[in-house]
Amino acid sequence: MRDRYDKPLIVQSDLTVLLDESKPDAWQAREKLVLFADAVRRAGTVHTYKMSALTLWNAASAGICGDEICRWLTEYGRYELPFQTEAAVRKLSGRYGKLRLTTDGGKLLLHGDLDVMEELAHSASVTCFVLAKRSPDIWELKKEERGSFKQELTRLGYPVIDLAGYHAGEELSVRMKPITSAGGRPFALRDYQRAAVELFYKEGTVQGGSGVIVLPCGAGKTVVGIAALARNSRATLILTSNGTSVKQWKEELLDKTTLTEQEVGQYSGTMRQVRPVTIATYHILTHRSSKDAPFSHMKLFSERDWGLIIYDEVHLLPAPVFRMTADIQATRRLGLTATLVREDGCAEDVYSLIGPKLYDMQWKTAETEAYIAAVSCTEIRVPLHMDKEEPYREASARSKLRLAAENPGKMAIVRQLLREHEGKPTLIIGQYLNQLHEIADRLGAPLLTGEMPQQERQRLYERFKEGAISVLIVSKVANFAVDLPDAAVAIQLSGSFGSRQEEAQRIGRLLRPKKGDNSAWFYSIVTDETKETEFAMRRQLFMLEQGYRYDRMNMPIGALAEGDGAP
Amino acid sequence: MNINRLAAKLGEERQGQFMRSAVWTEAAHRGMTWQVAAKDKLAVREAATRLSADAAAVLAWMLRLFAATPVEGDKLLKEIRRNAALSGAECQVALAELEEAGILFAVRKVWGESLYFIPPDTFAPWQQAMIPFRPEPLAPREREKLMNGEMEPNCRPLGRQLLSAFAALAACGLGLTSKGTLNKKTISKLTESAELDDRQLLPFGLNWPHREHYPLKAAFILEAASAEGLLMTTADSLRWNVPAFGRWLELNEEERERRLLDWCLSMLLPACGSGAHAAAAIIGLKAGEWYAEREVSRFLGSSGIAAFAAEDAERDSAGLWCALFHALGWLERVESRSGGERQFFFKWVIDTDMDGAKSIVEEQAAPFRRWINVQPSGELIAEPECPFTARWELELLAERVSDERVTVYRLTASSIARALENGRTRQSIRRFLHDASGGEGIPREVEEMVADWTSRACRTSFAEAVLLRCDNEQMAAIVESHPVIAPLLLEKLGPAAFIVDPAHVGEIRRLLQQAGYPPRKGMQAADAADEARPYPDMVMFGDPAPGPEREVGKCLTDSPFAYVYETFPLHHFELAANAARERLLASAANRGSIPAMWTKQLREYHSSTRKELIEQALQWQTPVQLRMKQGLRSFVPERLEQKDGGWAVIGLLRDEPERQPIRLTPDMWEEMRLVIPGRSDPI
Repeated sequence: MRDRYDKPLIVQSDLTVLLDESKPDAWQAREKLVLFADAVRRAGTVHTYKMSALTLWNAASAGICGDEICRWLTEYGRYELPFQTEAAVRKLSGRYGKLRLTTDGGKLLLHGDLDVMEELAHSASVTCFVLAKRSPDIWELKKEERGSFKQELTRLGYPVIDLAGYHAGEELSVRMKPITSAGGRPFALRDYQRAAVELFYKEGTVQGGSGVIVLPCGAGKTVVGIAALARNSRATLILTSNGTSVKQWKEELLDKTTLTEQEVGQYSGTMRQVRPVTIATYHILTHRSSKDAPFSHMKLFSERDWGLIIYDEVHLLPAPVFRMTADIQATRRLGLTATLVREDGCAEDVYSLIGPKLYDMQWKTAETEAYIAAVSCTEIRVPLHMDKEEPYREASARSKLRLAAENPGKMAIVRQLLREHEGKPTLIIGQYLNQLHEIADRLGAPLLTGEMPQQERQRLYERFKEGAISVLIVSKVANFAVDLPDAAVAIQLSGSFGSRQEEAQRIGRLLRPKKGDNSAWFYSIVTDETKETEFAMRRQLFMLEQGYRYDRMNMPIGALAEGDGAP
Repeated sequence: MNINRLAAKLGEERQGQFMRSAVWTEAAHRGMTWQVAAKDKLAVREAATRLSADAAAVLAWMLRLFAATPVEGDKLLKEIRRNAALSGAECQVALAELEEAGILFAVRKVWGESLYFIPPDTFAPWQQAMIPFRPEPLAPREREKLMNGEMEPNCRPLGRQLLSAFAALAACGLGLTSKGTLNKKTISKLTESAELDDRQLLPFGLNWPHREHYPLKAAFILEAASAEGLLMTTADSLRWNVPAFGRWLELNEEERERRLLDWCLSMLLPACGSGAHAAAAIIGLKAGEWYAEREVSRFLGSSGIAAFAAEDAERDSAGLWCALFHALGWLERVESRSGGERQFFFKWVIDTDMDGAKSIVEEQAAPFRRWINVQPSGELIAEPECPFTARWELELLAERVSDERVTVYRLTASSIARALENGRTRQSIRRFLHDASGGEGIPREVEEMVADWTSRACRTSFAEAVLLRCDNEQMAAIVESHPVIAPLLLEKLGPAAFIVDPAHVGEIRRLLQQAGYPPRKGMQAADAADEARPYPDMVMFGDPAPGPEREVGKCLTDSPFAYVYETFPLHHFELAANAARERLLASAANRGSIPAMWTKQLREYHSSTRKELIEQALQWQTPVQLRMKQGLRSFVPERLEQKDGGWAVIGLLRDEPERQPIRLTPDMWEEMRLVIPGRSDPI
């Protein structure tokens, strides 16, 4: 047992794998591990990975079989591979490839190994899709239920390889441009972006055409989507999470492809443009006049002969869109996301309806390779302003948090940070509007809140992007896919307790690669000796688990400049 | 009564006598004491080869017929005579041999009846030696059955389950209700923290006190603590026997599991009748190999054991034991179904041989290294080799997230508050994390977390004098400046303490809480000695000198079977030294004299003398040798029949394949002699 003490992996019987980064072979083990397991936590030197049916099938779709996985786990494992794990890996991996969907003369057929087909024959939830059994191992299925059938098989634990192919969709002439339109800068795909597109497209064969690409924020997911669109050259529907994102997709398309303004439509807010490339929000697709009314915009899926549907932020895909997606399995589908972890447990639907994971790049890898900026995170503790001490002591738990969050003592730190990073595009993010208004007044900086009309917001973004303003104060609207370009500094004044991912999303705003030293800074200002410290700790947990570290600075009372902290 | 309890009763002289018996020659040669040899598989296997044929037969039949259940002397003799075709005197001699070697024991009941028993912790090695079970492990080509089967969920080894339960008990407090039991909440926490289930224990026929309060699982856990001498009962609470507990925590994990297995068998084997055979067969199998449960059932049938267990015929004893051993984390179990057929397979994950445990103890003596890995997120990852002393502390300081090969804990504000409540301080927590992680630095984030969490909870405490103590002057100033608390402070004592009115304690507590400085719970007792603490500190990293004296407390510790009744409480009776030998001597004294030739030579006798010899054999319960047409035969007479002026003897001809009583008339043999068992007279 002792001679294996230096091995980096500890495999548990619940399919969890711990990777001890301090061991000599850790790097080699990680290279293998990411092929068949998801990283759950990467704090410290021991990182937690988790295998599941989906990760194993994703691996199998990339040609990695159960035997190989067990061999790696044994080779790098510190202890004997638990039997339970070995059995589960072999069983789950072994099921991949045993079922295939094809078409024959316009009929949808299921081919399968006899043993699996026998097992499925006992399941009523499967047989209800069957029109006829041509032979024990070839069944004819209801063509229009291709998606639902795949969902059901995934639910039962049987992945199916969909080789039933796609209809081509409406032709569209589009190419990537070597020089961008807006800046006139040379443009080319990065190697990993090109690799991701090729894995998706697979020369237009039935082996490709559907799947998910996972890239960290800032690593150019939109560019990958656009390149896939250009490679496919067919009418494309792009679904994304909000109006701002719709605009950004459009700008990028016009900037980096030969598409013209007339070829790109926006379908969100008040816009209803259905053009060869149409960008819509999930929100509008799921809109309906009443709880029981039909989704009035879902018809968008059939309004043109789409050859590709791109699902941006696929981890946010809402249930009704899944249902719709089940009906359009003959259309190529590309999912883009920074994380496949879904809080709602719909990861299986992403697998069965969008497709397997095709490409995955870890955040820290992207940072090491300078594909994204290196962010340093700092928590700054400030004492509660003396005028607030008494009200704080007497306040209810809820008010205590607000008093701590709105601590006027934070102002001095904000000023100091702005001085330190003068000229760098900086976001100041907060939870409470009063506090944000006050800071905006004091700093003379613009404030962007949810109340601001979209056009006005857009104008502010533009000015920020151009460098006309270097400080932008934002409310929690900044949490959601507001891809503010090139913010290098973020100062968080306050945040919410419940959301584990809020801090990650805010830090995500800083990750686009930066000119020069490629660095960015995230500051979280917290009132010491109050409930806020506990909240801050909880918010930081997700980033700590992703391998980020926080420095902590304590600002003594005396450090606050006179007048800065006055309420 | 197991070996250890017997050893305590017998004294060294008697144990030394056992080892001088020829049976233990090899074990004695290796320097083993009786206490060790009696339970050692190899020593028992060697001893079995040195038993006389009669002693081997008596022991094998006793095991087969009565398993680990004590049996009355007369019944034992009767059943063995019937099945082994031995005469009564031969049985007595064999029993004496077994008693003199410390293999079988007897206690004397009232009216002079004796109860024979085999110590339950030696039952399995003796069954394995006398009625061997050596099935073939599952062949590699058959492993497909396992791969396609359903594995039963992982259960932690019993030691770890107990550790969690003890930690929960300590964290809840050890106070007893007026009925002398733990309160409901504590019982519920205690049972929640172990995976073991009543369902796995109930089939073994245990009985326990306070059934209305304690589910069997709770009684089982408390009994484990009691049997290991870890708990003591005072008038109104339980208390840890800190030295004994410390020693238990310091045991190597393999050794601890082995001890728990012994304890478990000692309690369950006598309780479950013939079900014990399946247990002995199962625990004799090799660790790390897969076996089919049905092989065990087949063995029980083919070895004739099942035939004597009619009352248990319906029970799948192999399945029950495997389910229990699985729940105790000692074996893995897979259910395989194919073609409508359901089969179970199992594999030992602990080595049931003491030899294995020893080698690991040696390995554990390896140089000190990192036991836990402290993550910046506050996760503490405990290595499989992490000693229980450290795990005990981890159970207090952090919440257990998962426990398998490695155990993942997470520091939380409430777990740190619990630690402070149990006398830990910021410094002691930091020191523990530092030492347990092999002296590696603690991540700054964790230092800060701990600093934050320790800076609030338990900074103040109430003393018996109803003194409000603050942890420093700054805290005292905060208290003094509080507009509502200040008028309730009667007097300041020193820089950081105030006397308060007992009637205001609740109010002050509420105000402090509201102000964000929750005081330590309850009232701080004046004597905060380790034994009195519900959660004693057991960690002594890098401390070569043992702190508290870790000898098992003798007078205060709960005796075993305080929480689960012993099925056969033999310790209430007087242990009979060599009961069989005593009987033999007594009957020899009563024998009177007979002609020497009756035993020395085969001779032809007149019919009336033949009858006299037979009568003598019946009285002494000895066999006779008869020269018959078929040759020299051994005959065990059972009774004499007088008919039509003639006589006949009914008994067993030992070498007949059919063991049916046979009727012989005196003309049916030519020569005869009496055979006195234990005397080496020539034929």
